[in-house]
Amino acid sequence: MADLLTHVLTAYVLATLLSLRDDRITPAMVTAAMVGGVVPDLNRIGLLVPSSTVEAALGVPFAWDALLTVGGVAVVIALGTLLVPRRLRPTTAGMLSLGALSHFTLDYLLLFPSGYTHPYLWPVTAAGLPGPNLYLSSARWPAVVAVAAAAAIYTAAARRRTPD
Amino acid sequence: MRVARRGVAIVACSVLLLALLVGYGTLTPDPAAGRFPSNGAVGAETVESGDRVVVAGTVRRDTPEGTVVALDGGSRVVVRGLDAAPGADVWLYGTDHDEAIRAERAIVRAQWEITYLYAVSVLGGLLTLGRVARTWRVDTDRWQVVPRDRGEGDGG
Repeated sequence: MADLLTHVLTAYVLATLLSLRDDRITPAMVTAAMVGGVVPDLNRIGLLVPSSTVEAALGVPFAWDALLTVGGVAVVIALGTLLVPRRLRPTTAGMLSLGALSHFTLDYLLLFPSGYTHPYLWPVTAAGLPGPNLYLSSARWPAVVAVAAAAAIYTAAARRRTPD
Repeated sequence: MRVARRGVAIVACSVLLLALLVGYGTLTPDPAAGRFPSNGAVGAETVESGDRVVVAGTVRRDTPEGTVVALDGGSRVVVRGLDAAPGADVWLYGTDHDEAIRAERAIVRAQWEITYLYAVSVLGGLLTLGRVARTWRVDTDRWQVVPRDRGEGDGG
């Protein structure tokens, strides 16, 4: 994972840019994209309740890291989409997916010591992918870039909402 | 009818999610697929000499045999070829030999970098939560989450 601030701000920037062109992308839908950007990092529930604790309680293998894969994320997005009114489901699903896809894209670029990424495409394939190994999750510049881009987009969108 | 179908879909998705969480738990290391034995396997000493491993932990001290690293999860290993000061966070790829791991590529970070990562991530989470509370609300009559947007009724 890149840091979560970078992920949610990237989703905010992408969704706000789309909102300038498409009236269906309301502020609530921009939020949906940001939530989509959080979904793959839900595997961090494991920091509070370790997978081994759940494993011991259930008596079967268990790993929160399934949430950091396209399979786990797709099901969480389906659940999230079922929570909203029927007519908003296509847009909500689209925005949640936009946030999650931008998350996976940024994470694919991360530096891994083995050179292979986390198996993000599971269950399509359980293989780690040979990644470009560009930056660390603890690098400071991604958040700096994301904050600057989000501030610029926020200002531009606010100016557009206010008629001259 | 519609409400019942939605309930069935939510239950089906929840069962599927549980199946995925269990299914992922059954994955075992497979170096050919880029999945290497990690802290658990090294701590339980189920890796063979010559196996490639990926482990993460905190540097404790330097010894003539190598660097002692306390792995996340409890066990300790000796790592050779690692240049890191005590207290540093390490995440490394290397080859297991009976008495030590030979590091091939290590990511060494100061503790404050890890603290930064978590602090800024919590900020990102709170920002999102705040925006969810401001732009969505729970409609307890229909058990739905609906937007607060002006002109966006919840009649779906």
